[in-house]
Amino acid sequence: MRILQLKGTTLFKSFVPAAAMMLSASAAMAQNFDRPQRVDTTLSLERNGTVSVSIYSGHVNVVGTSGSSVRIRGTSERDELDIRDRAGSISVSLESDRGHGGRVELEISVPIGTNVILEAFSAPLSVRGVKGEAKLEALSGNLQISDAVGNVSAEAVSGDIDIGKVDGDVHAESVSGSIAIADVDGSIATETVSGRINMVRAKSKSARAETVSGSIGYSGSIDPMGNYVFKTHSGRLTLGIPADAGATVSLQTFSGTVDSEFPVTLESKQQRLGHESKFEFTVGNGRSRIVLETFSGNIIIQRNTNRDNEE
Amino acid sequence: MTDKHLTCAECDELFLEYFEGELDDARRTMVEAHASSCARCQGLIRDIREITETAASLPELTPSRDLWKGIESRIESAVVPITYRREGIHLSRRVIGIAAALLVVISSSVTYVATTKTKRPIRVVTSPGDFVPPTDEIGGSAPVVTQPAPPSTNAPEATSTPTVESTTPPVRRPSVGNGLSGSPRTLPVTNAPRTAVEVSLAPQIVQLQQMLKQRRDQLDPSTIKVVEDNLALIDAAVKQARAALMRDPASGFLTEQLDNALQKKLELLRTVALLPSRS
Repeated sequence: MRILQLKGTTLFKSFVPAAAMMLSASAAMAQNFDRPQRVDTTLSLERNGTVSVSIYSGHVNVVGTSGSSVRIRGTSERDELDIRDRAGSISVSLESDRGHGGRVELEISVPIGTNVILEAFSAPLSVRGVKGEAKLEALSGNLQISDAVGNVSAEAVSGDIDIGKVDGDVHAESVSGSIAIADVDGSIATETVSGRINMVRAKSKSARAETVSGSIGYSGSIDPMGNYVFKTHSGRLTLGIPADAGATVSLQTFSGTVDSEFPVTLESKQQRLGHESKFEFTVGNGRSRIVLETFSGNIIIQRNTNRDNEE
Repeated sequence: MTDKHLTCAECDELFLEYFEGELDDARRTMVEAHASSCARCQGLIRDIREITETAASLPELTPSRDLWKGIESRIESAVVPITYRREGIHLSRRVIGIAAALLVVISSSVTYVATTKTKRPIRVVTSPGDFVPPTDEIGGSAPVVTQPAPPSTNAPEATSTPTVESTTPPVRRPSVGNGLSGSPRTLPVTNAPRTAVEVSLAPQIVQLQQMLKQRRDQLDPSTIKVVEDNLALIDAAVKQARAALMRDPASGFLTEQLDNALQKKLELLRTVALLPSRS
């Protein structure tokens, strides 16, 4: 089951209606909710149900627990929380009629396998140990997802994204924030403008990372039929290839350098056209395809010894 | 293969062919089967169909002869880069599909304006029919020449350059820079290389930049800062790629570098255009 509800292709399209709701002001509500509202409620949720939360600022932490109940604890700075329990779905949002709403601090425990959707304007969001699908969006604020199963998506403008231990496909986008992805057994698609992208201990048949000025690091297994594409304009590309990998590696750079410690033999396809350098070489049986491209960044190819390409 | 359940990423790769009706029955069925149980892909298909239908409902327009010359020359010069990019393209076909659909709408609008609002003065800088916005409006900066202040409406236009085909009083094109701040009032030398993708993305980039400029006061200042900084990074990348491409116009790699940077700019502008206001 796919939980992502975005219809468009751009980040935060789903924010628009939510933000529009938050932006309609009403002074009448102010007198009733000018002090923090506390919430501590427990609801039942069917297996593989969905919990969604939409706030403006504050923080939301979701953790997975055994059992079949959802417990929501926390405070809302000034507006009442609207908690709705429908069949297979629980949603939490602000009943704000006064601008964008105040801070909301929530600690939520959900049954293992729950699908989680979190949205915020400016707030750190985390989903840990849920073993379900997860979709997080924030304009600013760090996003963290760990121990998920199924499709995982995280999108931010300025926040950092940290995704770990996922048995499923991962999609992560940020503009200026960094993206760290570890222990993913599934495809990876990620991009930034200036943020660094680092993928470690990946078991991905397909991995794609693109950035303008950020660096990109990938270490992990290379699937025999895999496809790996890493592109940056000015950042550094660091690739760790396992000793037993079989891959055809294409490298291209305009003004950067190529530094390979992997014992490869350059074949006759090495080219130098104008300023740009293009290399193609084969490791092992050469079945998987790896593409590394950078305009001015340096390319580093390492023998993968479980290094995490820490920078 | 027909038994395989597609992922969203795999669907993304097939969407372009799907919308163009180029998929075989088996793959089309797989895409539709996936979409039937995936809200995200279902919404995407619906959105693109709506855009396509909207575009199809626009009135049919015939561009002027001069305009067509420019379009034709761009198409002809774009054959090789397009072929190359289909091999090494980094963007999802979903994005390109949407861009293509949007382009239909925007191009139709541009054509409509160009062919109906004839009273609006238009200046062609160097080549007849060059309808593409200046490169400094799209991203980066091609070599530019400072344009003197526009003469009065009664002043005759300089006609020493035979390629200038303007019959109307000259006017500077609005320069919108990165969309967030004013740009020098300059006009580019328009013989800078333009890729097929650059030509196709230019109207959207310019439109989104203008939209962004109008929304500047509505957005959070810290967001504006992030956007400005990152647009500047992209513009620098565009500038570098363009400069390199001018020295080596046949380079497919450099063409792709330039295209990638422009596509990234378009994506960022789209993202920002849809951000909620700060209050």
